[in-house]
Amino acid sequence: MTPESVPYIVAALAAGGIFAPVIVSSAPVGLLRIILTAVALALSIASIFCTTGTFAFGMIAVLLILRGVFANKGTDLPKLPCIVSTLFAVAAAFTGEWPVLNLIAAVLLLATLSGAWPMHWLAARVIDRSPLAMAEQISTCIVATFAYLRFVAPTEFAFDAAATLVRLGAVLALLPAITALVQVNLRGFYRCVVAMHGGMLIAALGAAGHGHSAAALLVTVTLALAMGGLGAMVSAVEDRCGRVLLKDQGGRIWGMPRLAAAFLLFAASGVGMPGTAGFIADDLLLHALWEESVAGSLIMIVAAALLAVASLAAFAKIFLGPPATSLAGDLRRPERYVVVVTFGLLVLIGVAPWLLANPLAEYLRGFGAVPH
Amino acid sequence: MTHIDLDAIQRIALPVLILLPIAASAMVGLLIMASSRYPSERTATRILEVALTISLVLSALIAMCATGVFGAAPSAVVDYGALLELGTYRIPAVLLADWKGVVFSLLCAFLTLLVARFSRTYMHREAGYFRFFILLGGFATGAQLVALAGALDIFFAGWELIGIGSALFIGFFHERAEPVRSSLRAFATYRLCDAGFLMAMVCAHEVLGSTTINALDGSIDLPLWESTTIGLLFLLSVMGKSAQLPFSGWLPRAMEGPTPTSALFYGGISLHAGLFLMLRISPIISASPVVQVVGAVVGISTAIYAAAVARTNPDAKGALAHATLCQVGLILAEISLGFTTLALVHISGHALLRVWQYLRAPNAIHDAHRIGVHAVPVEESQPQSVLERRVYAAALHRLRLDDRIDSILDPLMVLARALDKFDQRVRVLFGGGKDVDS
Repeated sequence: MTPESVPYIVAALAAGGIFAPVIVSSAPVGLLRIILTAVALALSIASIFCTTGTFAFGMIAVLLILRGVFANKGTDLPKLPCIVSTLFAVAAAFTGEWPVLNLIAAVLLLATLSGAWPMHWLAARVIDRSPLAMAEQISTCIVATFAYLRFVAPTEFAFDAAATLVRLGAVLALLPAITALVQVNLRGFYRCVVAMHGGMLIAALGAAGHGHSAAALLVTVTLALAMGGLGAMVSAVEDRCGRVLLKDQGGRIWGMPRLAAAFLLFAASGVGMPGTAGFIADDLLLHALWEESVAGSLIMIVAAALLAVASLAAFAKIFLGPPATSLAGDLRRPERYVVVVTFGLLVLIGVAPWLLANPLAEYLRGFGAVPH
Repeated sequence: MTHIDLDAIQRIALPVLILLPIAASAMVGLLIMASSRYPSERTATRILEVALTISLVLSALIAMCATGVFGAAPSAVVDYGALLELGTYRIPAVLLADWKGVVFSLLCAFLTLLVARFSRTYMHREAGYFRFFILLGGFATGAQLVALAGALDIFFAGWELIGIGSALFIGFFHERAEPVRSSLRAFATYRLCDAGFLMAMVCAHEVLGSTTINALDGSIDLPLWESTTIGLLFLLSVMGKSAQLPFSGWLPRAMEGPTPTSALFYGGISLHAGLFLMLRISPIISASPVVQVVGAVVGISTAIYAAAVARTNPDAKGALAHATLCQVGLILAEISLGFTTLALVHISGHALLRVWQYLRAPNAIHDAHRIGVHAVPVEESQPQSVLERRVYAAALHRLRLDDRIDSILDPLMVLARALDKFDQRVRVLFGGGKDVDS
């Protein structure tokens, strides 16, 4: 892979993240939804290939405005999260001259999109409407992180703010990981998992200020693929069984074994299962964090361990147990394709991370990124 | 055969023998995912067994190369470059086929194939038959990664695969609540103790400049506090995986899984994987007297505890698990005191014996009748003195280890509930994500 291929890889990943929710959606997909998806893809690609921060974040702002305008109609998104994230995107686009404001706006934009604390109340609105809509929103994180790595991370202020962001991100990852242990419904669990990854992303953005851009991109890709996939599986379970409580054992694995397997694989990838992108992202992130803040690194390790336990507990309550009486079917064929392709991508990046990480470092050097 | 040929053979054989089992599992998984009908039991088993057989043959071939059967032994370090290389940071793709690795690899490959063959009949028509074999393939790859890893990152990948496989096998009969609870407990113990491995790995990278196993030889030059910290962090991880005190509580619960996997994990490989990690980090252990002492004390304490519990345990698999744990504790002490060769021999012999005993466990009553073993009369087996009674009661309750660990974790759950309550209030205040069910 050459450095020139990096934007194409990022564009392909973003395109997958944008289209996958449309493919797996159980609701009929109308013409408006298809047009919106195509426009979202076009704007994402435009943002990826823009050569200035103003245009890159501007394109993301336009994309979010579009979503806000058509919120509740063509998409499952509620209005408020679109409006707030649009404001942050606009702020990131027009504050290029003031690095402090630029960094704050960009980090807030990514925190809103990824559902990190304390912006998770906005993500909670999206997840409450539809977990699939959250999966779609997360895919925008790839584009926004790419813009951050090119135009915000190389600044001097980002260099100075690295340690603070790392510590902040570690704490923001730990809090939802702890609350994930006591969630009583599936959406609450999903919200905590996404928020924990949002915290990881904030820490990774901090580390990117010191040149650890590959860690940031791999964390985002894991967030998009694993959490997007998990969101799709949460949506699939709810489409079949309605609202799912995490009280007693659900026993759904008997009726939907493929769905259970896919849920487990995505949840495990998110917490660093070997052989997937999550494992490399965690490994890389920990080494990057260690250089900025030893405490931040330790907190992140504990957060990942707690989330792993919470994930297995949630899986056990949703799927394991005596056979449940249900007429709900297993994964449909389009859903299976999305699972195989998404998980395949997670594995591909997990076993061959150099495909993405090595050219990225070279590519970002052209934007003045600090050499690692 | 020339020396260069052996190098080339080893270079190709090592990744194949490691990855083939998980590739076979993925193939069975894809067959299930892609088609509307499940493949036959026979098809799934054949795919797995062929992969495990090839893995065993290649492992034997590597062992013969390493022992010089075909002439001069090739280099033990097989470098495939880097999985990722970014400036000073590197995830090395290195395998290590030294005598320790080769012996453990051969042991793992043989026992996994043996258990797979045994399970073909044992698990026939059992619900979860395919799940069993898919997980077995993942486990086989994990065990080979542990045996042949030349870098801590790769070792950790195998370590995690073994942990995930162990937890999922414990909860295999999930229609009952108890196996699921046991599975969660084992997994929680693994993950929390693995935090030690991760920290030690990152520390080792920072102070030694590399995560390769060979780089650990440099730990002799480290300041004492650094080698002690890294050694103790690794030891924490070993204590979780090998069920050493105070983390022994999950082991009897792990017997909820199918007997063949109990044999493979807790008689054969998983418990011993922690000891193998100790063998791999032996340069760090020898550099730190504190780690040596702590390791020996933990090992001997566990051996005494397990010996007492094994004598009071009412079920065959539970007694066997503690008998195994007793030996594992002794091996840990051996390694801590520097007897690494003895420990490797002990591990191999012990694993073979225990797997056989576990696989025979379902026939224990039949065997007892056949051999003519009779129960000891109750009045003879009763503890006599006050001390005996106290030890008996403590062993019977397994020192209430689970309760003690739960009480340590209670504040975490209180914090989790308080945080969740606060979070709910914030979300309700801003009108997002009202938890109607909570």
